[in-house]
Amino acid sequence: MKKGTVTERAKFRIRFVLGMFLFIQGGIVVYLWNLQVVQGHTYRENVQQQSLRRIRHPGARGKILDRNGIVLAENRPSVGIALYMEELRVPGSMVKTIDHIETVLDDISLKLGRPREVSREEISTHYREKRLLPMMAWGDLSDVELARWAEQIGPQLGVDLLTETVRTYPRNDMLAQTLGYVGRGGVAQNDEGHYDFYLPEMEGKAGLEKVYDHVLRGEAGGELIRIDVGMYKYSVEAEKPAVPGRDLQLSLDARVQWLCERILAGETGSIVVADPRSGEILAMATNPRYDLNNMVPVIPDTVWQGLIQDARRPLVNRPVREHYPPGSVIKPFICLAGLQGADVDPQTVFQCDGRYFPGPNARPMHCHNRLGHGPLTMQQAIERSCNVYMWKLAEEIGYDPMYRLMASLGLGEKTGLETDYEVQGILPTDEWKRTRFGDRLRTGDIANISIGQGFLNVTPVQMLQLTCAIANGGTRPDLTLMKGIRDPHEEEFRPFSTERHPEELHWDAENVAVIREGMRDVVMNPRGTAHRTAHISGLTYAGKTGTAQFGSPGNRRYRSWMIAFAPYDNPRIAAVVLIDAGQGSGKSAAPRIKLLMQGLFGGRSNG
Amino acid sequence: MADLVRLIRPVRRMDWLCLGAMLCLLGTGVVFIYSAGLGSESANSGLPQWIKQLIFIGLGIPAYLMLTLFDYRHFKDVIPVIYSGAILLLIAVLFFGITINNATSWFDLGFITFQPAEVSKIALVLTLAAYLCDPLRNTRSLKTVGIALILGAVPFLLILRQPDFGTAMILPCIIVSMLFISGLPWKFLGMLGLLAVLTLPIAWTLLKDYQKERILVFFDTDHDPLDAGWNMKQSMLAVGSGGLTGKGIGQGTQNLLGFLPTTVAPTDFIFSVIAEEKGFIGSVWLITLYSLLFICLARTALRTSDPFGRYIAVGILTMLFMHVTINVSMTIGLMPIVGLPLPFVSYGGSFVLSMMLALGLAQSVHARRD
Repeated sequence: MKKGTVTERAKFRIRFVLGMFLFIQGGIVVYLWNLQVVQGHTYRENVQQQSLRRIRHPGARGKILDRNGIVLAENRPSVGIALYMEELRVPGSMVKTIDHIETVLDDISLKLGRPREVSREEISTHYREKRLLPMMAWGDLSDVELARWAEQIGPQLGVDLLTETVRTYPRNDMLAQTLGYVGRGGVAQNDEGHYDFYLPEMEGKAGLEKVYDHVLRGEAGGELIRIDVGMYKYSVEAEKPAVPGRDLQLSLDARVQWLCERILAGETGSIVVADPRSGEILAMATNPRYDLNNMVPVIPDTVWQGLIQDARRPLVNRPVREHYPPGSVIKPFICLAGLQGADVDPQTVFQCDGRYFPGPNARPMHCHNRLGHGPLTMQQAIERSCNVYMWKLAEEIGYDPMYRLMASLGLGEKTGLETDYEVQGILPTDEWKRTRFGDRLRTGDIANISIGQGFLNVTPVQMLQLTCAIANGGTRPDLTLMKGIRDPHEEEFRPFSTERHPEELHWDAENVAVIREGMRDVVMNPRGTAHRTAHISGLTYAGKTGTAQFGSPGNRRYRSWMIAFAPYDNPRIAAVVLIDAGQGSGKSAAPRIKLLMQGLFGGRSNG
Repeated sequence: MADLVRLIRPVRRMDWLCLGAMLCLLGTGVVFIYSAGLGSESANSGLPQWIKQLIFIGLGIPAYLMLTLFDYRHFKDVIPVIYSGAILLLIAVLFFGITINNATSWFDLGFITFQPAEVSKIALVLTLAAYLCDPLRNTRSLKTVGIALILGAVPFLLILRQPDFGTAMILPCIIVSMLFISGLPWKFLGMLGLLAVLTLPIAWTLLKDYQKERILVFFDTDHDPLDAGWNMKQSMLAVGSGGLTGKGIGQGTQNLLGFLPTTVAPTDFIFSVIAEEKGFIGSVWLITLYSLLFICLARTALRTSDPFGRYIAVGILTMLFMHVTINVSMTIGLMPIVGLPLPFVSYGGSFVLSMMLALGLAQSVHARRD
């Protein structure tokens, strides 16, 4: 049966073929199991990598307010016209899309009456690198431009209004150097997570904006965008809202600040005011200033060049950044050093003949009163600012007590005020002089220090710290600019810091009384150095003037100081005025203390 | 009445499992052609592809049933007409056909593009079946093998000329498979294998640059990932990311976002869409249905007492198997991309019709198995 065998063989071979086919199908299933189930997560990750993008949205920046709630820094909405690439795309090459965008822009520019602000190059770059993000074509539209938009242009495919927030400083140049400004910045250090695109974020570039950047900045949110093969936005997969930053309340009183800045107008100098009881800074004024709103979002080059080329250096925050010889304002503290550190009797009389010889063969040093003040007690010496008294006192007590007192009040170290660029001044020691000049402090050096000249250098805020201590009777204040902080959407501020460290210096009350009385006499006693220029009726207060010379003999100029606290019996105010390149304390600083006291206490001038 | 009963009789005896599996595949295809079309928003005006596919299925089912009712044995009498007709169409398409994707493979009939290569496969199955089933033919002789090879070589070379590498590849497999069933000695089989290996370098020189590119890409996926390698890479990402259960119908991001090009997603890469959206479960569903079809066709071949019918069934089985295996393999990175659609599932009018006609032919054999 040949045919039968043929058929049988065929049937076997059919089964063989089928078996082979099914075996191959089985192999494919096994392969698919590996591909889809075993390695599935790898492929899913790859798919996400190629089709998901993260965009970071910065949180709204916190406000800065003064102690009474007056806004010093906040955000305002800025409306611009933005391009949305996914709606502007033209099929075909990228060049066609760019061409189309240019046509659209030119058309809008004509209707808007404002020239184009983005070049073809910029469009092309944006299109290539971040087409997921809207591109701002015209920022910060004026009301007129907004009206033209509404009437003639209006939203169209791929073009719409976009609101951005811009940092704004409602008081313009008030507190400029201390407040600081923001600029386009990088990503905050504490930021976690990886993002593919970052929306522009403001970063504190100077002042409190910089120091408290981490507090003012919010927590970034983000968008997870699914993109299509053309890198355009397809859908928003997930969104995490950004958390706004916290608001800061300064100890500063904007009214006092305003007053101080008015008083300084036209001069180069500083006024700092604090509450001696708490150490809270009420004003920190300096002149010249600049308008903070010119600095955001980007400082125009002309503005920047103007600021850095200005000889009066408006960028410098003088109260903390500059240090100067204190001049005679240091004298009450030299006296206090004698009382506290060397048990000098305040009633001890030193004779002022108008001259003093620091050594046996040394050239004489002169008092400002060439005729001499005659015999003086300590209180009188402060009142009349006698140099010879200080020299003789210094000679008797030596440098050590002076150094210890000044060090205990924080000279030679930073006050720790919450600003950037604070300097520490110079509180000279033998060691300091040796490193600088290869010699120890000599009698002449110490004599100079005792009248606030020579090596001793202080910043206005250091001087304020000293003044506060005298005013409050012996507590070195922990100066601060900060008062409160509040989380977003909260009404009430809570204390900014619970860890304040004022330092009780354990001064003898009688000793402090002598110094305070001497300083009171400076202003209140007709023979006091500031009586004519600073006295006002109805307010008893105390102060001390000072002048430090600088410049070459041919071009001698004066830094004019005055420190003061008021009211005398229960001081609520301590103030330091420093006028750079002034005419001597009696003429420059004292009248400004007077204006300040008048402004603060409403007193009238007594002549 | 009796006539009607006699006319309907083949329908009652047809392979219901085979029909069921085919309908399931067609249905699955329509669903995922719809899904694949979600990615291309109004890219082509007119009817959506899934509706067009439904129309072709609607045309195909009556044709399928008519072929079932028609006694396939009558084809034996017109084999020369069928064969030469197919060859003529293949020649004609080289001159009058339209070129899509570098290949001149289609006639544009206005409402439909028609690919003569599809018909030529069925024509070759019928021709070889008729040639081999002759009881006087010594199927084990070298002469028989040689003639069978020549019969296949003509359409093979014409299709390669278009060039349509994928479809051309199917033909030698059909020939070898049918010769094998006819009792081809193992040593001939070995010689054929050797011949194939020796032909490879020649075939390589005949390939067009883009085809060489595809093959190079297969061996090195990073060869040119933005061009030829792109489809393979994206297809593998689609399949792999499907996981066990998939992302859901209409949720396949590879397709929606256009990473899997919208032009090929509903056609050559429909398997990727299904594997991404229904996962491993979906893949197995498809392969199970195809395996059922293979079993049905093999069962037809085993049960029929007519050698002509047996060869037809085996030829169709091989053709179907090759299509499925090549298509799935290329979408999962097991083979170079050759541009071959997935039977019954891929979008494409003339392809769906010709595949349904092939199964109709098999049904005709099945219904007359004794």
